[in-house]
Amino acid sequence: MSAPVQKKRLRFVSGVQFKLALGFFVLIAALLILLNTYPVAASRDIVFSEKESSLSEQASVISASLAGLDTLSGDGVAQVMDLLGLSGLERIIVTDAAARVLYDTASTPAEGKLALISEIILALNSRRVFYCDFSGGAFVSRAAMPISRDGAVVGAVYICERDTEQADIILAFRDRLATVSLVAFALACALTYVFTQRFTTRITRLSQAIRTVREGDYAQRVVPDGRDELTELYSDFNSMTETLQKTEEQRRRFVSDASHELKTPLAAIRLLADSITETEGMDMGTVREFVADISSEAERLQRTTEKLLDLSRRDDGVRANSVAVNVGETAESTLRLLAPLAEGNSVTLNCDAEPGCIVLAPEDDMYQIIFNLAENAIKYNVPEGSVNVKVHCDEGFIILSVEDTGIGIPDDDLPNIFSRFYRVDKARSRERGGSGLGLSIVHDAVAALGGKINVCARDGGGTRFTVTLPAWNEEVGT
Amino acid sequence: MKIRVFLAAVCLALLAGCAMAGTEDVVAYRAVSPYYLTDGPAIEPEEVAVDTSLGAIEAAVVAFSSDSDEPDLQCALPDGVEITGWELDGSELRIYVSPQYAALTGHNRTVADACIVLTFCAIDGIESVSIYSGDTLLTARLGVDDLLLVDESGSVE
Repeated sequence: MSAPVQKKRLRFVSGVQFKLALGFFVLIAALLILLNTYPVAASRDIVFSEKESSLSEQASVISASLAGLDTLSGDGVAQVMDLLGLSGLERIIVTDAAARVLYDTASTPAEGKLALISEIILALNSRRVFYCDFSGGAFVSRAAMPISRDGAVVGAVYICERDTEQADIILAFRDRLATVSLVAFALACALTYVFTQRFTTRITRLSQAIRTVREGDYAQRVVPDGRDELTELYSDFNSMTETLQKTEEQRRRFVSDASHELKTPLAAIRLLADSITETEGMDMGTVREFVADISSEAERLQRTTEKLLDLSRRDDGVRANSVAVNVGETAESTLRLLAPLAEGNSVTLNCDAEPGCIVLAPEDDMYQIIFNLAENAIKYNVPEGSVNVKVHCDEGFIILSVEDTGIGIPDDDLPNIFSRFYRVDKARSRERGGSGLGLSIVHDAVAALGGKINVCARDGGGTRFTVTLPAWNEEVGT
Repeated sequence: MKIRVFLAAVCLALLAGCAMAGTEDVVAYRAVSPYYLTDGPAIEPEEVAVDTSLGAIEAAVVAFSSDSDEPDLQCALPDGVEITGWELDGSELRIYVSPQYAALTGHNRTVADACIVLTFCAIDGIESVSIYSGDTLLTARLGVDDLLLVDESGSVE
C-alpha cells in the first residue's frame, strides 16, 4: 500500500466522522441485539413456567389416581389411565418401585423393561422433577413424580410433552423481529452516515474558513445554519473575523495617517530649507521668516510624535502610578497654563470646581484629559467666546464638563471624533496646530481610569464634553 | 562391559513393552450420583485401564469393581459387596456376588443390575447376565434389550 493511501486511511480512521459513525453503529447493534434476545428469552421463560405448571399438575393427577390402587400392575394402571383420558402428551410411563415399566404410551412400548431414565430414578427418590428444553423447533417438557402410598414410594409417573405450536409462535416472532431489526439497522446506518457527513462537513467548512483567515483574508465569513452549538461557533467566528478586519483596517489607516502627518511638516521644512540654500542673495528678513516657519513645523512634528508615543504607551498598557488627584485643582492649574492661548484667541476661561473632587489616577493623565479638552475648546472657539470648566461630585462619581461657545461639531462627525487622526475640519485643524490625536488620548485615558466620556452639542452653540470618573474613597482606598 | 549395558537396555525395553501390552481400557458402567442426576440416563459408561492378561471377563470384573475417578459417578456395588466369581454358560454369564447384594431393593437394585448387565454384555459372546449369591438367584437373565436408558420420544418429530 502506498504512503499517501495509508495516510488517507489513517486520517479517515482517526477522523470525527468515523468515530461518530462507529459509536452509533455499536450503540445501534447493541440495542438491536438486546431487542432480538430479551423478548424471545422472556417469552420462552413464560412458556417454561406455564409448562411446568401444566405438566406438574397432570403428573400429580396421574400419581394421585394410581396411588389409590391396591397394587400397581400393568392392567390396573392401564384402566386408570383410560379413565383419566389424558391427551396431548408425547409419552406417559408408569413404573413400579423397582423402576420396571408397567405402562408406556410410546409407539414401541417399553413395558417390562427397567427404566433407567434420570427423571424416573429421581421420582423414585421422592423428588418432583421438571425439565423443559426449547430446541429443534419445539418445547420438549419432561416431568416425573413419585406415586406414594402410606408414606412409601410405590412407583413413579413420567410424562413427556412436545409442543411445536408455541414454539412456532415464538420462532415466527423471532424471525419477524430479526427482519425488522435488519431493516432498522440498515436505516439507522444510512441515517448515521448522512448525519455524521453533514456534521463533519460543517466542521470542515469552519476549519477551511479559519485557514483562509490565517492566510490574511479577514473578509472570510461562514454562513450560520441551524440552531446548535456549531451555529454559535460560526457566529463567534464571524464576530472574531469582523473584529480582526476592523482592527486591521484601523491599523492600516493609522499607519497611513501617521505617515501623512509626519510627511506634511517634513515636506514643508525641506521646501523652506531648499529655498534658503538655493536662493542667492536672500535678504535676512526672509531668511528669518523661513527659519521661523521651519521651527514651527518642527515643533508640530515634535508634538505629533510625542502624542503618538503617548498613544503607543497606552496601547501597550503601560501606566504610571496612580495617586489621589484633586480634579478641581488640576483644572484650575491647567486653565492657568492655557490662559495666554485663550487671551490670544480672545476667549474667556471660567472654572467652577467643587472642592474635594478626588480621583485615583496618574497625575499626568488627569492633566492630559483637562488640557486637551480645554485646548480644543479654545482653539475651535469664536472670538469673544468662552470656555466653561465645571467639576462636581455625584453619588460616587466625579463629573468634569468642558463646554465652549465655539463653532460646534456636526452630528455626522460626533461618532468619529475620538478616532486617531480624525479631524472635523482638516484645513482649519492643521492651521491651528491640531494633530488629530488629542481626543484619542483623552478617550484612552478616561477608559483606562474606568470612566466614560460623552460629547453633545451645547444649547446656544458650541460643544460640551462630559467626563465621568469613579471618585476616590479615602476610607476604602479606591 | 558393553555387553552388560546392552543386555540391561534390552531387558528394560522388554519390561516396558510387556507393561504397555497388558493394559487396556475396559468400559465399566457406573451409577450417576444422586446429587448429579438431572435428565438423561441414570447410569454412565467410564473407561477403566486394567490388565487384560487376566482375560476379558476377569478384566471387566476388575474394572467394574474399581472406584470411579469421576466425581459424579460411583461404583454400582454398595460398600462391602464384591463379585466373588463368574461362570459362562453359552451366551449367558452368571455373576456371583456377596450375600449383602440381596439387601439392595427397589430402584437401587435396578441400577446396580443394569450396570452389571451393560458392563458384561459389552463382551463378545455374552448376551445376558444372571446374578447369583451362592446358589440363590437374585436376578434372572437380563439383557441390554431389557433396559430403557433414555426417552427419545420428545426429540422425534
